[in-house]
Amino acid sequence: MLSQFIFSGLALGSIYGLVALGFTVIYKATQVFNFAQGMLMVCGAYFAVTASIHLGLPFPLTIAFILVGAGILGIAIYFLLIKPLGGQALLPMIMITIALSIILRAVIELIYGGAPLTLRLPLPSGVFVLGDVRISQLHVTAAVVSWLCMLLFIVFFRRSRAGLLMRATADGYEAAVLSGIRVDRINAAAWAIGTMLAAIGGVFLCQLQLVSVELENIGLLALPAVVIGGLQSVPGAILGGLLVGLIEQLASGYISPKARDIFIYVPLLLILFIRPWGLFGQKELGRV
Amino acid sequence: MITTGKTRLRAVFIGTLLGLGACVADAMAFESPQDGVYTDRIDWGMTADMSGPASAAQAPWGHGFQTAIKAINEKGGVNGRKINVLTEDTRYDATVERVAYDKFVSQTPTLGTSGMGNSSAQTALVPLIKRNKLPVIGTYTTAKVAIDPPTPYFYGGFCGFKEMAQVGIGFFTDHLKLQSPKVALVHLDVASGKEYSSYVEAAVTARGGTVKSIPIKVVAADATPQVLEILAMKPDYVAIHGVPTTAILVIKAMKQYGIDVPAFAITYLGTPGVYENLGPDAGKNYYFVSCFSPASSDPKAAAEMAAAADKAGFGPLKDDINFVAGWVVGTTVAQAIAKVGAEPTREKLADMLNAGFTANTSGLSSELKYTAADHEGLHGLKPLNYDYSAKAFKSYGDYKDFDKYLK
Amino acid sequence: MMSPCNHESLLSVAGLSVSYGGKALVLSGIDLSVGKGEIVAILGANGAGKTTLIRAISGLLKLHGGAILAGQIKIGADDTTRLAPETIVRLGLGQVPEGRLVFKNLTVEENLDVGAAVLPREKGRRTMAAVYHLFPRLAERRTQLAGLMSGGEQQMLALGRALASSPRLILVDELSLGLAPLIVRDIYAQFKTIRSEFGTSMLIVEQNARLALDVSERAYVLERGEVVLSGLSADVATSARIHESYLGVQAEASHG
Ligand SMILES: Nc1ncnc2c1ncn2[C@@H]1O[C@H](COP(=O)(O)OP(=O)(O)OP(=O)(O)O)[C@@H](O)[C@H]1O
Ligand SMILES: [Mg+2]
Repeated sequence: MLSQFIFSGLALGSIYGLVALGFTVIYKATQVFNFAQGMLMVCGAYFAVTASIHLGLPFPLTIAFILVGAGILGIAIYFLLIKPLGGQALLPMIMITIALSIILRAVIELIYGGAPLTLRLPLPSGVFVLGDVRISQLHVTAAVVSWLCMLLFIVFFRRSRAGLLMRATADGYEAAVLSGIRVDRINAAAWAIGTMLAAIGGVFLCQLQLVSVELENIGLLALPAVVIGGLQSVPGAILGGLLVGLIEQLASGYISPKARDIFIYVPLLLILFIRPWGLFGQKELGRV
Repeated sequence: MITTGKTRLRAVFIGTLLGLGACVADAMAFESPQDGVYTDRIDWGMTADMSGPASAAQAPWGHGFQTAIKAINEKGGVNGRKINVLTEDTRYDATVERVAYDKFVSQTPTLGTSGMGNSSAQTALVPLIKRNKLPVIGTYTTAKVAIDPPTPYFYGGFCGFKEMAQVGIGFFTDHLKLQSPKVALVHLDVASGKEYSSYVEAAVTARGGTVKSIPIKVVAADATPQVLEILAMKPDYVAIHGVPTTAILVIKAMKQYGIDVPAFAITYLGTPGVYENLGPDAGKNYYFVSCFSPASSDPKAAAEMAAAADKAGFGPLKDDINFVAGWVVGTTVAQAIAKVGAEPTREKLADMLNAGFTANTSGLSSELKYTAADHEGLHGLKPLNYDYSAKAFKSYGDYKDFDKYLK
Repeated sequence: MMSPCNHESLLSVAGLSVSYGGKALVLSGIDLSVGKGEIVAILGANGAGKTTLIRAISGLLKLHGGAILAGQIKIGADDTTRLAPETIVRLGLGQVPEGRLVFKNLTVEENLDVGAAVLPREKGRRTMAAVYHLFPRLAERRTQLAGLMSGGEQQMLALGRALASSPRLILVDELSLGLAPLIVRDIYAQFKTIRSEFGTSMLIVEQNARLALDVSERAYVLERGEVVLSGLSADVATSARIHESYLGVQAEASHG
């Protein structure tokens, strides 16, 4: 029973971690606390619907379509919304992202209708049986792909020149500008990556259930994940996501589904009291 | 606008003259604008969540209702009048529901209204429905307070939770030849879920069985914890209350954990979408109980509806029980108006229903009958599931066969 | 007063007026030039407008809510008056900003990498090697997070990062601020080397007038947004005006 909860918790947590990582990338680059992250995730599911059902693309092209679509969406959001309205205080920016999520939801409902859709992608759907433990292949696929994406991102972030410039921009805007970094491009790239990561999470969630704007509520679990893990921390987002997935399964399993919220949000409050920079975040390096 | 006493007097005078003139010209043309009845048409209200969070189920219902009325109008309407449906999209918002209801009472008066698929709005509106005397006929969901005891002017139009529990439990207990059934019930942790839970418990206890009630959230990402409880309990069968996602998560997880027992869900979850999502492997053990027949389960009974749906562009919806339910309510409303006669009013409509009225739903639903003591209308249900190879819903008998389970 | 006509002009500022948020002028009608291979100092009291001038040249005014109201800035032959800072950097301008804005969560090496990122890879590697050669201390601390280094080392790093882009001209704003005199002197000692090895001209803002006048060839004195005195550093140093109102006080402070 316990191992079963841990497996499914880790699988779901990997998806949350992926969406949360997207959130952190955006937050680090542009200091925008993005309440639309759940909706960006939903957009991924609907990109999949368009590619697979409406355009009838084969699976690999469907994946490419989702990634390109998400990337363009992220870039468009940055240039149309965040950049022109940017530089404002945290609160107006939050309002902007809330408005964004409402608009995205309405646009989706206009295009696709309000009814949930069924999408069947050729992903493994069987079960692995390991002794007592039964693991859904879709869960395993979701976890493996999520981890690959996270790994890929970390390699990009830590090892590539573009990743270096992204980290520099996140570290200090003015210093970045006067070092010649084309900050707009970096920020747009951060939004593109953040949206792509969310979209991949959305594709898996809509395979676990239906394609529906209501998936947003699940995507928004990325927010407690990043706050617990540490807003600015890449590993924090991933581990925060895993933690939320585990808490969700264990609390629902051993206590009750309602208990889930308590066990997610009480630690969140505790963290805000004791370590506001999150479990894995670091206090800002002191200015000398 | 400001009118002086004199001009008002003149207006009344002229109006009376015109009215007299009209009466002389055509003594048959009855009008009662405050009831939404005009010489050539009758206004009828309809509220449904056409674009909001519950639209997945309620929009098909609305389309079914509209398609039925359209078909009737094309055949000449009712007693020489066309029925004009005034649709309000309530977006599953109780306050919008209230505003729409008020509108139908007096601003743009209608003879009656249908839909009202928001049980909390219904509960809140019960006192108003009594007072305003606007017949509400054929609701998408039926709140317990509205029909028990019967609220004057309120007439339900959907299968009741109590009957769903009784027929589902009765059928599966007999079908699996169980002496004392062990039932796992997965239900939403909301009011209707608890209500359903109590009905299931009563039905199972009556059969000498045991039931374990397992709550789940509306926005669950996964049903592993619930299904592991099912696994530990080893039930004979499973009952499901929830939204389509609930059924999908539970059935898929049951498959994952190799739980090979049948499950039956409430009527609302018996949609082609859920079966399509589950696929043949997981879906073959998934049943639902319903007081409505999807078109493919009884093509003969559904012939007229299917033709009208195809014509209206809603062909793909005819296998959706929500569409069927809307159609049934639409035809019921038309029959009720017809029965009242050439001079219908709200009052007469309600009196007629209370005197006893049975709608002809041509086999698309169980018997739909209103009396002074029973405003629920539909009682009988039957179990159904989906035959993937025939691409058709399959019912396990006639509605009447399961009346024995109703208490 | 001597004119800088023996130098080919690298930076020229003509009639520059600046204000923040459309309020009173912070700079009015500034004329200034830096020749190729020259080290030029800008002196002035707190609030005189030195940093504002640096921001105007590097294109950072907008970021701070300021705007150029009149005048022209040229780097080489290019009019840079309204260009974006990242474009100006690519025209060969490096900057060591006030308050040593290093990337605190990046290592020393990564900081320099960012500086060199505007160059082709091979050239970037070469300038980084030259920076390490110039400041061996940075080479020792290659993998350390910049935020954990001492103030002097951070200032060194800021200078190194500006040099890593192999600029034609660097602007240095109050390098001495908050640093021990000894380390300040160490860094200043490298200025001439920088010029000879990197071929970089320099415009240095400094409140420690004695230090600045020592290292520079020419100097401008700003007062309330206007150039009140300019000329060869030696001449400025002997100017009575500087002695009274400025040099004396500052010299005491920095040696006190
Ligand atoms: N971002 C800003 N917005 C508005 N006013 C500003 C801004 N920055 C500087 N100022 C004002 O412009 C004037 C010149 O400031 P500046 O920073 O250029 O002086 P400074 O010579 O560099 O002084 P210090 O030696 O203290 O660094 C000051 O009066 C200052 O208050
Ligand atoms: Mg300054």
